[in-house]
Amino acid sequence: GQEKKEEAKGPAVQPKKTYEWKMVTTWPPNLPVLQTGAERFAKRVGEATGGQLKIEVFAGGELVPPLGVFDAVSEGTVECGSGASYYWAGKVPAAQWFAAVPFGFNAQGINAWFYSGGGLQLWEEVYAPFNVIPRPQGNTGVQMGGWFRKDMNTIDDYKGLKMRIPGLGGKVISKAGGTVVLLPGGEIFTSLERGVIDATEWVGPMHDLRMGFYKAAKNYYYPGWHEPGTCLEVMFNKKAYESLPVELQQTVDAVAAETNMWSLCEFEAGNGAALQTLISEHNVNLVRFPDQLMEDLRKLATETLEEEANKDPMSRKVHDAFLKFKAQVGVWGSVSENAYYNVIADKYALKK
Amino acid sequence: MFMEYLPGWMFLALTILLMIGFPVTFTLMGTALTFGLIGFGWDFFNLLPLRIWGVMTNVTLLAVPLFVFMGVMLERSGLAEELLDTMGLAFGRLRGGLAISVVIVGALLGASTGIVGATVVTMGLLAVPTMLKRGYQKELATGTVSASGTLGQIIPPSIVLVLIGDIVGVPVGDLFMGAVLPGMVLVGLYILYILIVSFIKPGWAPPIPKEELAALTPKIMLKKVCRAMFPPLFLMMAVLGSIFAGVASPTEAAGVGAVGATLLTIANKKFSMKILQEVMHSTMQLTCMVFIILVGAASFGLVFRGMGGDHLVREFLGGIAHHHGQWTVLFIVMGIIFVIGFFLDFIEITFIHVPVLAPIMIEFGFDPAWFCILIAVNLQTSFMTPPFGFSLFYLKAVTPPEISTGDIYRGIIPFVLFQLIGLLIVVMFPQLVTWLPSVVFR
Amino acid sequence: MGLIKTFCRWIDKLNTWVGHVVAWATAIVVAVVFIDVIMRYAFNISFVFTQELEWHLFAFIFLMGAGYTLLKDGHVRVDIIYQRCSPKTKAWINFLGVIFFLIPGCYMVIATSLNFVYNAWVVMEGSPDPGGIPYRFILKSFIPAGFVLILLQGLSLGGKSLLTILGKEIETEGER
Ligand code: NA
Ligand code: NA
Repeated sequence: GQEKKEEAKGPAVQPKKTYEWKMVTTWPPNLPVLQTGAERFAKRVGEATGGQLKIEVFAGGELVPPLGVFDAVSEGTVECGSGASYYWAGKVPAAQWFAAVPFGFNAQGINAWFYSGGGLQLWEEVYAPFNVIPRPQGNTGVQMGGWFRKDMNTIDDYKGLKMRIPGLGGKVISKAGGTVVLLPGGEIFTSLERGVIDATEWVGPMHDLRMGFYKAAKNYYYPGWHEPGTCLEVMFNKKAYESLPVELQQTVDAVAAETNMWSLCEFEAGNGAALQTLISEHNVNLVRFPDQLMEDLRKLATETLEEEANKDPMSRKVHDAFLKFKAQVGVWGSVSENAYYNVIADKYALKK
Repeated sequence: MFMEYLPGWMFLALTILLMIGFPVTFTLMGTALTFGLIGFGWDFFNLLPLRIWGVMTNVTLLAVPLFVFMGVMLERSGLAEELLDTMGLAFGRLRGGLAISVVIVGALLGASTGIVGATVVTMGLLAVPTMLKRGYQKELATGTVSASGTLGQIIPPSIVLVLIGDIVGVPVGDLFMGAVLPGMVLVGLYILYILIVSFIKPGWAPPIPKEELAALTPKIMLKKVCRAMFPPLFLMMAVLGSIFAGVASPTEAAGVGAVGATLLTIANKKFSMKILQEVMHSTMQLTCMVFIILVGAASFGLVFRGMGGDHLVREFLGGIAHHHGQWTVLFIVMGIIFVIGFFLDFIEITFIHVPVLAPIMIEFGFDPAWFCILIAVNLQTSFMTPPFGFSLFYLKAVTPPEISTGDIYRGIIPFVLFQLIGLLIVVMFPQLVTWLPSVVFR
Repeated sequence: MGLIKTFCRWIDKLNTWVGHVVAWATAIVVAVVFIDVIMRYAFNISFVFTQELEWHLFAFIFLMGAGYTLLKDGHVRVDIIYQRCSPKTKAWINFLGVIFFLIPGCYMVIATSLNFVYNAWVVMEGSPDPGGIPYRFILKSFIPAGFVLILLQGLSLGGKSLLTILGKEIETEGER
């Protein structure tokens, strides 16, 4: 990082060192809440430090390709980055649990794990060999199950279903007999419209609306079991982070936590509005996955996660901690949020 | 002063150094390295392997070796010549008939990929030799091919529309539909130019000699046309058909085309181990040529950013928007993108400018989809403008040695002018963009 | 002189051999893509492994074939001036180009990518997708490997150009 000494303004004022950092992200320019969230983080850090730490943000592909973010931060060529930890599974299999795993935590759960259940320390431990320090910086909330050209009634309907779904969700689908298709972002729409694929998942209503998938597939399934509350991350190069005075480190941490909160709120508000648009303006057929189908997928997901956890000791350690904490908040959630949602759910009519 | 405008000096230096004639990609790398070391030192270059990795992992680029394979196979098997010859015969009475059929083939090929490197190389292999053999002027032949080979940029599916749509927040489907008519306008303009030029300068685009046409009875002609039209129809079915029938994604369709060309060669009893070897070697060389240029461009782009070149441009654009009315701003913006298109590739331009410009233009009340298409047409031009139009480099690599870079530069200029007329037409008639999506998507 | 000639000949042989091997990958990538399409459409079968293989092969081709392409003078030039030059002037352009552009350019890529590749080897980096090809560390190694081949071929080009400048006859392979 470039460091400059500012001129002392008077004899009483301590000269303060200023820092100019670069941040690279995995998101395309202007992508709502994901890229704009990273930009907001940078802007807020500048404001909160009185301009002492300035961060310039580069979208995916501007300086480095989206999936080069981790390497760039790890090397220290840029000081920080923003993304989601499952993108680094090829380097660090254990990283996946800190973004989203099928039938894993929702936003509330994963935040509780990070801030009050030792999750963040574990995450730091996983990234430590790479000289990278992670912080939660956003959350998508529960995503949508995806756009389907077919009806999904039982697990058998996955047999031969061609779906674009990356990562662990994809592995679950292929266990169910589905065909996982990898497509570059630009070819998803055409492929879905033409029927090269039968289904695709994306994010939630807010982002799906932008992609126009409602023109290509009739059924919009929920919930997004495969990404039930994806955590977005900001990561710092260890040396850069530690070169900051303690008060700046704490400011950066605080702004990350604040942006985490902001991001979830944006998703919550934006998804609600977009879903209304999709239903009332585009006549999307909103369908809930049948319970039995969910149950069957859950079994396959459990298998998948076990297999992943057996790949290396770190993954095992993270997975066990994850399950332990999930049980802890799960018990409470089933009598608190879950029960309460069930009580008020029918008060929100989806149509009209 | 020198350090402030370092990015500008870098462009100037590159322009001069390229003229010396050492391979483009190494000249790009050497220039970038020198200016990078002056501008910010060595550390920043650590991002370079990541950029190369970005090229390696860009799955859509896979269309290049696949389409090139198809093109080389058609060329080596002699099928391409037969095909274009017959098309020329079919349009034979018309001056410039062969060139017109080349434009149409280019548009069809463009409808199956968005990767310019793939279409220009394929078209260059297929069409240039035939046109030269028929006595076409070098400039007209190469201009026609590099312009129509670039049509894939705007005719959907198109990478640039996907990128721009993503940045501006317009659904890709709308943009694809919106680009159809402007794409056809460009096709029409190219054809118009060819018609005009072949009437003013008959020697540049000779019609098929009368004797040759007279020797063909309508019956023989029909037979010949049917025979020659079968392979291209078969290939179009293989490539476009597999996209539209939902068999393959656009990139994969290129692979279907490559297999289709091989099958045609086998069916025509032209296939041999020797042909296959030649095809594989040419495909490899052309693929390497295209992508090692991209690696050179990646290092150049990295240095441009590292020196804050994007800031210079952004500040300038932001400044204009505050001081002028909407049409003036649009005019200036289009002019700037056009000029910058001489030097930077479309991804850089899209990432640097569109995020700054789009909100301003939408604020002015312009239709977002229309603005996206305008930028796309403008960026398409950037592939064709000398001295750094990538289409021109790609074409140079596949044409016979007697065609010089100068021929290619001279040949493209009229097409660039007609391209600008096309841009103007889209500016004046926004309905060209907005009408089709409104009909198709209710 | 003899040493330079021998050196050039060995490099040319090496890249010719590499080129012959890499050329096959172009036919293989066509086949893999086609088979993937057919399997998916006709039998609803698809593997992450083969889908990744498509672009792994593509990356392999353009990096490892680049040295051979240089041998065949396949990297495009702006030849407005170049084509009018005498063989000796062309040799000067190539000689100086190798010294000032090619060698520094290749050095830049090789030097910066070594650490990048090393980091991938340390963790034996694989695909982030379950079922993907677990050899990303090998794929990444093609960056420095490919540019070493280009560098060597560049040295050969420089050597041959030097001989031409000095007026020594040399049988040149692939010059045009
Ligand atoms: Na998702
Ligand atoms: Na296209």
